[in-house]
Amino acid sequence: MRLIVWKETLENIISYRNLITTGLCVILFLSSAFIMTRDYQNRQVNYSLRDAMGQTRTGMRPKIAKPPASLSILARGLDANMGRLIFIWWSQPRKEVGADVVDPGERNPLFSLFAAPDSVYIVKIVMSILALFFAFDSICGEKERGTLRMMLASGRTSRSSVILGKWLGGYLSFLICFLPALLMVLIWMAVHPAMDIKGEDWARIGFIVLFSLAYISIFFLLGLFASTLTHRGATSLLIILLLWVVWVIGAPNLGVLLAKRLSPVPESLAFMSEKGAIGQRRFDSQMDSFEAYWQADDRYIAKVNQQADLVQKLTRLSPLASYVYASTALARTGVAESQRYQRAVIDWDRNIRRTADRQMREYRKQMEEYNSRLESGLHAGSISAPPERPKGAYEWAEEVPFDYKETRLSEAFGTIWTDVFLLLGFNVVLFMAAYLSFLRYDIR
Amino acid sequence: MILTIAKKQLVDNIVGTRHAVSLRFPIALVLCSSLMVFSTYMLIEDYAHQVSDLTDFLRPDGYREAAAGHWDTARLAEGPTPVTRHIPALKVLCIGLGDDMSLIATIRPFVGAIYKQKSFITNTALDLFPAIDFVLIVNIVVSLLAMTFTYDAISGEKQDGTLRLLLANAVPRHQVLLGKWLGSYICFLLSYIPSLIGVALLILLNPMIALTGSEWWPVILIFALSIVYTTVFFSLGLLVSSRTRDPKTSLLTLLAIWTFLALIIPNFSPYLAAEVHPARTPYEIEAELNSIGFEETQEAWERVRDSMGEALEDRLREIMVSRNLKPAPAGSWNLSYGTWSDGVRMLISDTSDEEARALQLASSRSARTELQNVTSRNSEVKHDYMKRLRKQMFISKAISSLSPVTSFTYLATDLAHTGLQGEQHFRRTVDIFKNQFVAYVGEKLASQKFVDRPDVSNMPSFRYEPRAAVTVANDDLIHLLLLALFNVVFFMGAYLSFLRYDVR
Repeated sequence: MRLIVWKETLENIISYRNLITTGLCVILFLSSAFIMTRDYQNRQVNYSLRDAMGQTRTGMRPKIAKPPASLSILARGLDANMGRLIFIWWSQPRKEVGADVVDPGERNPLFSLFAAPDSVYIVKIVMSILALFFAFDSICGEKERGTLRMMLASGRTSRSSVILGKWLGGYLSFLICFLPALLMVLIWMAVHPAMDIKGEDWARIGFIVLFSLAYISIFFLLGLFASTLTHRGATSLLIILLLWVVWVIGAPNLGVLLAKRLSPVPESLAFMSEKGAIGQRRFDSQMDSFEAYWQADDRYIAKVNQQADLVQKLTRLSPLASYVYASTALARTGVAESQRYQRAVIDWDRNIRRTADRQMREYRKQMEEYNSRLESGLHAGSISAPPERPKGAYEWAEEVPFDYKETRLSEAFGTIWTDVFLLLGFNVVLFMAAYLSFLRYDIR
Repeated sequence: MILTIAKKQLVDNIVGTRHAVSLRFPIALVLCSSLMVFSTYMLIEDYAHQVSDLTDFLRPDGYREAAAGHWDTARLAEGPTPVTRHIPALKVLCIGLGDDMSLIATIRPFVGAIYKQKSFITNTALDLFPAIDFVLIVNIVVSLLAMTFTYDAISGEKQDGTLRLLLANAVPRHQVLLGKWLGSYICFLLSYIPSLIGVALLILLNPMIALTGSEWWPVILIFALSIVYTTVFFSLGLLVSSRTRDPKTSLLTLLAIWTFLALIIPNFSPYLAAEVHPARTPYEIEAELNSIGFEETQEAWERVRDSMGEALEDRLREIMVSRNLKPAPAGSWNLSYGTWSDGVRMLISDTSDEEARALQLASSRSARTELQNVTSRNSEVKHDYMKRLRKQMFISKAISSLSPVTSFTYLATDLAHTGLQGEQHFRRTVDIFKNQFVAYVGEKLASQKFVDRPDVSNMPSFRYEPRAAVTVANDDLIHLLLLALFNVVFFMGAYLSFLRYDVR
């Protein structure tokens, strides 16, 4: 069997297909790292502007609360969503809390028309197709050339060692194509001055690489499986292409549509007008109206989170979704991270309002006491100075810390263990399928 | 002869080939129609949900009611006056900009038009996957299927040795190629057109969408363009097939080309354009506008005060004190209004004190000049930025036109009014209305007392008319031409290659 692994590896390494793949990987991954670094640097600039956007007379003071994640150059995920400069409550009163400072009309809309080409994108789309290319004729191709028959006719090799060897050798040779690109990206990340990658980040990168390998392996095994089902390379390629389309393009997107249908959330414009209606209602104190707002917010958040859960459940039918969830979670750009960020912004806003309200009420009480003492006609000389007015909203914001902590590695794993399990599970199932199917393969 | 070959090719593709039952026809038919019908059905449901949620919100006359509902004319000047557009019904085919599409703009004469954004709390899990719609299925799935119909048209026959036999019968080569093209093409269309009919029926049968006569034109055009677009890949398959010796190599080569055209060029192009022609981030622009707004406004106001002497401020303060109003601190002068905000305006509007009125008018006049200076600096910065951004978009489009995928995407989303053109058109319409409305409010403020309820009978009206399909297509002419060009080049390439093909 070692011989088969060796033969398979050698055969692939020397081939023209291999050279092309290696070159393609290097070009794609490096150019992706390059442009994603620029993208990341832009977000860093935005983050550094959060105070420069500063105080104006109308009290506009937008803040961005989360620095960009450096691993977003591998898995951009939702980082751009979280990196927006947003308004908070005492700022522009005409915009919602959390509204983006910049009007969408002032951005380049082409960025949102197509997905960002980060490393995860290249792995999930391009590498999965490439893996299929490597495996689609590993069995049926040998059969077409007649070599499969010869190999098994000698009686010295068993079928199981052939399939194991094919799998190991083929997959290894594919990894060899992928390796130079991977190394270059890692070196790029290690030496680029804009990157600030610390100890734990390397562990995260390591896991992202492992997930990528597991994901690619699924498609390699799918190709192997298809090649044990068919007798001609072209047929096998055709079948796996169609499977690829359904599994990688169709399934996750249809899962999203289905989840939206099964667990609907009110349109965000409608929700905002509902909140506007709350604003029109009469309340005894300002805090009452805030509480009413917050209740509406909480109901909406619950619905949104329920939908997000369902989206994640349904899309996991496709390994692409599992891979995206797992790698973005480790890059700190995933769904759980963004929910946590939204929650932190909302809590921050509420705490500031509570603090402001408490301080103002205290001030009013002190002021009343002061006035009554003044009115009771005591000697003006013996009355102390009037109470000091509480500081403004800017200072309250500094008094209430923004309590957002990045997810720790263990927490990140807590949210994605299903995905890790699924990535491995798909591998095992497909390997078993390829194995069993090859045992009954008609080699003539 | 062409017809005989075409017929043979057609039968081969549908029923089976030399070796096995052909899989591509049934697979293409089932895959294509099920994906399209399912996704269109889901998107129609989504659209219905959205429409029913937003009917109250997007009433076309909402802005008139909002204006009439203001208590006084001063409030009319401050807004908000919301103008809206309908959710384009063809969103069910092309989601386009999706949630980034503006449906509502709030006009505030002193501020401008503010476009409503989606709420801060959103289901971010949805942002991880592109939405699947007709355009995506055509772009990715149908183009791939189209290639599978031709990848072995020449190289497959060569491998089987039948090509040699065929040409030995003194059939001219161009007839063989045309016959093969025709036969496979009919077969491909037979597998694709049922999906189009299915989608059209879904649209037709749903009462929520209710397209009228001329509104069907974009649908028909999008369908027709999808056929033109997929023909590009169909011909590409033929081209590659007539340049390679065996079907496996053809398919691999085709897939490599397809990956670049469909999955790499569109996604890389905006980033490459940003690299070639960098622009500052919108936040940097906003920060600059902010500093202009903050520092320069303050300086401008100081100049106004200097020019007026202290007379104005002192006199106003006096009037306010005499009416038991607390004068605002000196820092709260507002250049936009030419005076202290609310309190003073109310005071001046019903004061009979001619002197105060004269002072206020004079201050407004010099404040307006200063305000214009600040505003023009603002718009200069914004204008330069937008110009740069448009250039960047132009370059991005130029790079991406290497791939027919982007041409089809732009054309389809624009025809459905969900793309860039629709957005720009809405914004232009809003801008025109905003200017009319500002002039109208100015007139009202001059002729009506601030405290009176506004009379909106002669208010300018806002009406968003989607652009006609012909106009849209005309603006996207370059993409139409590109699609045609790709077709011609690939077909000619296939033709010429086959003429020199080594059939042995």
